[in-house]
Amino acid sequence: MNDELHEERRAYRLAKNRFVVMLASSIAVALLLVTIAMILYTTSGTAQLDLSRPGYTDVRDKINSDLGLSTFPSTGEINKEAIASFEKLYDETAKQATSINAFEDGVLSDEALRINDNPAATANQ
Amino acid sequence: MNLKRLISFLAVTAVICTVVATEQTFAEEPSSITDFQLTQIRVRCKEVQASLSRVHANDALLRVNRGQLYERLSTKLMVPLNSRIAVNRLDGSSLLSVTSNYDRHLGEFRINYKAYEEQLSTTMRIDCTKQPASFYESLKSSRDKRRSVYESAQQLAKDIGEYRQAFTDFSKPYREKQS
Repeated sequence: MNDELHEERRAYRLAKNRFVVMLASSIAVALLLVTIAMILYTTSGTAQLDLSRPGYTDVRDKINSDLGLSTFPSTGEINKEAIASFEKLYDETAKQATSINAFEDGVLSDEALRINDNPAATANQ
Repeated sequence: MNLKRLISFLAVTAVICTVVATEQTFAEEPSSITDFQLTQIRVRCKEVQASLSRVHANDALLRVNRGQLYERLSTKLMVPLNSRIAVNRLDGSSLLSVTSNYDRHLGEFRINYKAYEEQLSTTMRIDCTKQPASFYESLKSSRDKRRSVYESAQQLAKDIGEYRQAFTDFSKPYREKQS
């Protein structure tokens, strides 16, 4: 009788432990996968393109989602029409890609941030 | 023996002290920032932080929009044209060479922007009322990294122009032939 009871308790403990181990290992695997995902997210440069992050609310709706640019066909003859078609597509896109001097360093200058060394200049700003 | 140990100990201690002192000296080395500027940073801290936040957000938008255009120029125009030229067994070596340079510079642009964004984020996290000097040093580093991004963008613009020129040269005989 005692043996049976003991065996039953042992089986119950084992089953309970298995459940706890399963829960703990599930959490550990989930944490590991999230960590790997976060490392990839930050190291790959995706984080810099993710405008859904806090702080980008104002600019989020200004993304050019429809650039209207079609792909130039990679097959076919090279003739006058193909050349004209490529020129048109290329010039349109090139114009957009070079329209402004992007990332000029003036916006981070002392003057722009109003922390320049000239008291008079700072007072006038 | 004991004396030798004592001398060794003192020598090691002296070296450590020298290294620490040198690092301290470098850390406290007067930077180009003046007392007036330090005061300005402290006083205008919130204003400066707000400006940096705006620059940060606008740059992210510019990076996304400009990045799309740069990618599309390569994947939707340059690469298909190069393939088409190859399929027709024509000589497009100059176009291939410019495309290769363009792709390399595009990779540099991505890396430089990532470094700049990380540096600017670090700068924005520094409390400029308590650590104005560190803030300014970090800001200077952000400027340097932004300059690298600007140079990469300029380089890409140059490549875009070179590809156009290479295409004009390539298409010249075909235009003359057909006109």
